[in-house]
Amino acid sequence: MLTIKNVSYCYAGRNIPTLKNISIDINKREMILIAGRTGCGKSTLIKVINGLLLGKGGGQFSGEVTSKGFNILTLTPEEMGLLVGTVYQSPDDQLFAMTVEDEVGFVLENHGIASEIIKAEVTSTLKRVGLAGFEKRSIHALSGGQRQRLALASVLINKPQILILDEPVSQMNPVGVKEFLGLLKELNEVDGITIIVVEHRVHELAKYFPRLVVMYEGGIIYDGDINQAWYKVGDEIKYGLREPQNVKLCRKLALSKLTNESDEVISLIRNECCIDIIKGECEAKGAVSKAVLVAKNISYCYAGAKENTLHNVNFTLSQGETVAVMGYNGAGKSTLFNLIAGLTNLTSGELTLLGGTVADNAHKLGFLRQDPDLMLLADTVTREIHWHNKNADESQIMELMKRLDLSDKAKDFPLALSKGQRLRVVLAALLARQPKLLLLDEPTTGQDQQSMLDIKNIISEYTTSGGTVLFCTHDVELAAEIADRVFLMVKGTLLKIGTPQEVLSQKNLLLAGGLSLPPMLRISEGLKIQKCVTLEEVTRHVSKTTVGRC
Amino acid sequence: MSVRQLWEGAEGDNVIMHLDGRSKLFVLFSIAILAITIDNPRTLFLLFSGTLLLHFAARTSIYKWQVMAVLLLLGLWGSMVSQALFFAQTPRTPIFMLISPDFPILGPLTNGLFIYQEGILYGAIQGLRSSIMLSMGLLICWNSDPRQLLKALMAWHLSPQVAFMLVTALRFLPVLAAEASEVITALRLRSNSKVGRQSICRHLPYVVNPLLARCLRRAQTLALSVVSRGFFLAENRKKVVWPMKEFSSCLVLALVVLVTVGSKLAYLASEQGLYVGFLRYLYDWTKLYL
Amino acid sequence: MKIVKGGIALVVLFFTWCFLFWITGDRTPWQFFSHKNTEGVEVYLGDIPIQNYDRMGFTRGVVRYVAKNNSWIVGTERGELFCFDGKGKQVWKRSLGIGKLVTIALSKKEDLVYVGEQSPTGQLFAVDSNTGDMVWKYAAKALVGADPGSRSYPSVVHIAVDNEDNVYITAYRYLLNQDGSRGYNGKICSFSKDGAVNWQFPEKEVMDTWVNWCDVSNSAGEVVVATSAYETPLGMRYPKTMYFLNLKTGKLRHSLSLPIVAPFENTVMRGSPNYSSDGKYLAGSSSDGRAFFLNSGGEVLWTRELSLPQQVEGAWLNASGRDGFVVPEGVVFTTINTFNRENWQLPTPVLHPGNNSLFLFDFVGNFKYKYKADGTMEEIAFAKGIVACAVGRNVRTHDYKLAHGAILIKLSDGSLLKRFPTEGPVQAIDISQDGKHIGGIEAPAVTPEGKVIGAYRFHIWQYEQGVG
Repeated sequence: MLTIKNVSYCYAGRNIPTLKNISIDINKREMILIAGRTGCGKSTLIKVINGLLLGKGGGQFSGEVTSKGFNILTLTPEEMGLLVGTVYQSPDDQLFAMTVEDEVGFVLENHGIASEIIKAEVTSTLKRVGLAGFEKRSIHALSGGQRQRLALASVLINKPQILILDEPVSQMNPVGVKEFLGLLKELNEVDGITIIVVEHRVHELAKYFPRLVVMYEGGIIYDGDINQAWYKVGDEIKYGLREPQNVKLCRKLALSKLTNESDEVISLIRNECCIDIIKGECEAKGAVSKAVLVAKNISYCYAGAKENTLHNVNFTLSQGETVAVMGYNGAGKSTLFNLIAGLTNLTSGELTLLGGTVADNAHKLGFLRQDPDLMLLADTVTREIHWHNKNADESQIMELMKRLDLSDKAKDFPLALSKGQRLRVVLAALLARQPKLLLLDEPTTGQDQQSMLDIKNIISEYTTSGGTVLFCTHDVELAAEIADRVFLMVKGTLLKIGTPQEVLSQKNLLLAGGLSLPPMLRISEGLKIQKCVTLEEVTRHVSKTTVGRC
Repeated sequence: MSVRQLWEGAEGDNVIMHLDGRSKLFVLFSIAILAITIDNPRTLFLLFSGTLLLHFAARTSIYKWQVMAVLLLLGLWGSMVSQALFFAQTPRTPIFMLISPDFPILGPLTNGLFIYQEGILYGAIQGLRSSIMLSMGLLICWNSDPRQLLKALMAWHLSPQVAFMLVTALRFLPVLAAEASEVITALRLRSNSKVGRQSICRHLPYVVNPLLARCLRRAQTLALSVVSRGFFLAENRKKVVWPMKEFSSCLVLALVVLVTVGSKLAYLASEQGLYVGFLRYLYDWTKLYL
Repeated sequence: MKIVKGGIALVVLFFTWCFLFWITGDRTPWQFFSHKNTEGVEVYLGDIPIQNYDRMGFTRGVVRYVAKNNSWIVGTERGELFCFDGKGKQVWKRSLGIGKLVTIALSKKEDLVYVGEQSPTGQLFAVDSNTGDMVWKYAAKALVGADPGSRSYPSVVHIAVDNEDNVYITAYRYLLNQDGSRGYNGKICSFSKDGAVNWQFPEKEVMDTWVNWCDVSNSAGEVVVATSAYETPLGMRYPKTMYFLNLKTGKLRHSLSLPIVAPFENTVMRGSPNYSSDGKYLAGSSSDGRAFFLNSGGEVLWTRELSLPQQVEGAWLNASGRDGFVVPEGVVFTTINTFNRENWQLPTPVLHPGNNSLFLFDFVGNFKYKYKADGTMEEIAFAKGIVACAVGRNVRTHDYKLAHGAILIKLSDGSLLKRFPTEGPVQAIDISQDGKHIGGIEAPAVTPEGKVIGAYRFHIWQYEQGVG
């Protein structure tokens, strides 16, 4: 359907090509997942596929892109739009109109189609994406997931043969991801549309995409069956792939096959490993240290709202703890964080921070907001870290920058760095003030594997040195791995507080909180061992057996 | 209502919302011309009151009224106070003396600080001008689909690129507002004092960099999105008929504007020597009301 | 808290709207900064640029009492003509356009008001005193031309009305020639009551002199025109002080040049002469401070020096004469401010003892009394046995508190009958024939100290004989 042959591209003003001799064949009805580290050239490849790369002021291009022998680079962007539809990462950046029907009908309007036909097409396309009846709805009234569907509908109405989606689920919660990917799958199977998705969340998307393309430094280092990818590129951190936990388990247990299928993993373990059905005891946590944050019956109601956003929330956060706050979008997590940070005031209840009121002590905590880019304020990395922190110890800051791999970026403009680097700069700026409590709102969203590892290390070091971390996430695996406790929030209340093992092993709780099942839970149930949520817990019960196996 | 919702077009069903984009833009331009042309304070005041009445007709929400009130008050009082204190034209009539010319140090330095009667009125005139435009601009912004305005600009054969630029500014206003709010929150969080955490004003100068960077990225994405959806296929687009009632009303308004501008020009010409006797009533009327 | 703040913003916006409504209207708050006179009725006449107290030219206005319905016709520098009833309530208001109203007269039956303005066309308006409707108008531009480009505007400077309601105007325009020299265009025109032109003087040309005043007498069958040209260059066609014209035809009967007194180069009459009621005599005073009593033939019967020019530190100072009236009690003359011949724009270092005074002589020229006011007598008006004086600025003493106001003087002996003080200088005045109703126009001024005094207002005072 589309053949990209020996394509190289170098942006104007750069010396190093962004794409190096890329060759890829895209066939009809395929579902392709493109992954790779930030900066590896994925977005540029998308532009090659959707024909928006070449224009005035463009860089140096070589190679050919053909469809059924026809050079598509000669097509205008509008003509390419009929062949390839692109949905970008943030719906806000591409939605243009006020109402749903206007947005969806935009492309047909531009092509001069009659309004009656447009209306009919809009209705049928909205039905297709699960937004039937939303025609007159204002775009601003849609949720994030609905807007993503709308963005999809706005290109789908053109009936493209190829649909490219750039990180479409990076902002979604697991339930939303499942629904959206289900939709994509349906479009592929029923309408025969080739789906190409660029994403970091390989571990979640792997089961939907038979084909995986991995890019690294402008080239393709893997293009093939996703199940074979684990052998070739899965465990190399530099490629930025986040392996599914099942595959990691297979690797750890040195099973004869690396597979993501839970049933297959269970079967392999049964055949190849020794299972100890013991009442495995978790390592006991040390003595509870002093309370950093105490919440007593806190409630909050937004101005004009009929119901409380938070009702009677009680908890204590101790020094040195890492606590994950999890739950649906709209459960009240961000509201809780804003209250702790002193950005809003309680409606009722009491919140004690570091032994005093929030108003007195809020400046002693660090708060990483959901969009860290908007927290970058200075012209250089060094100035960013020193922002309102003039008395900071220089040697400590140098040490911090070294630990966060920012030493060679000291004079760089923070907003020009890669996504992972930008996040690390913000974290460095927060940590430089030596906060007693660190609030992190979705710190791993949209981050590649390397960045995730960096964040985990930072958190670990910080808590080891006496800091306390409260972080928000949908990532069950992350929470299970690093959190000492999990707060599960549902509709403004704390449904459950407990260790990850206590909370994330309860299916009813996971369902209530809109969380996906930890893969290790499924495995542990299949092995009939104690319920596990982390790799380590499973391997506590399972050991490599069989002589001759490594 | 969030900061973002403030700048998004109203979902409401009102007269202004349903007007053709061309009508809205035409009214906006016409009122702009009138605001510039008219010098008579009472007429400007009536024009300003008229724009406020339009907000009532558009059923602007209380929150938006509050936001608009703050912006209008800043403009009006800022203009009146600054002119009252620093009016430099003559005649100027001091009505209050704040610092006497004889006051030690400050007196000789400033030659005295007075509140001038003509300054207050002059400031009111300038303030009313900017308030008229602010009020009308907000009315259009809060009651328009950006595409409506885009269609209008394109129907007037404005270059698609320029039309797109103008409308994108409007479209991104809510997003920009929300992000500005977020940046200010971040600044507050990074303050090292209680006052800094509460304050908003002291952080305003720092919002530019992050917003600009985000805007650049966003602009690229939006441009790619609309180009691939055939935005620049202007000739293919179906012509939208301008409703006759609205068109006629705009014609009437155009006539009013032409008469106003013409009268003003004739009056100014008469002051410069181009006095035509039979236009005396026009001159009188212009002097009284314009 | 946000709701409270938002609510406060809305309330403040509402009050701001009210404030704007107030200051953009006619009734602006500026008069609240000036002293309120509790005596009589005050009517605000609108916003005008407030002049510097020491300025040479100053804010003026015109006022006439209409006896038939106890009302007042007031003309302002804003080009507006008002009619107020005896209690100050506005009966009608008419904007006459962009000019300054500088002179006013009533027809004999008081049914028409004649108003003259200075503007690019220099109109003479005849307005119905009952309704304010325009009955007819005439542009003095046709008499003396106009050159708005160099701001040389025609003006109807004075109006006189005879017993048959014929109207006589002096029209004038100041010229600034390209070579820098100054000139004048003057003309006298007579109209019938319905606005038809009876005659013009001169018929086919303009007078190259500054004509400021005229008066008419049916008994004498004459119109007298006084000129005010301070310089008489060689070749001037109309250099004389007074011209006497036939009332009906406008033909020149005779003219008169009054003797010159040093240091002046010409005898100038700015606000006189005026005929006696029987037309037999004329009284006038000149800017050099002399008073003249003439017969209708133009013969000077006697001259008196109201103010002898004196030299102080090398500069000649004198008090300017302005008015001359023949009243039953005698002959009244007035002097205004002290005049510095070297630089007439500046206040003088000393006051001439004869300035700001009203003089009464008997018909043979014997001095009866002099009444000295604390400020310039801007205008005088006569009732039976009383003269009302509008007392304006004293740019030498700057006596704001004691000077300004309207005063009533008993004509027979010069005693002060009543003083109506005002905060700002009174610039125009009229009085009913019975002396009971007095109307004056007060003007605002900004003092050298920067304070605003007075406001542009019309006052109506009542006076009962024997009271006050």
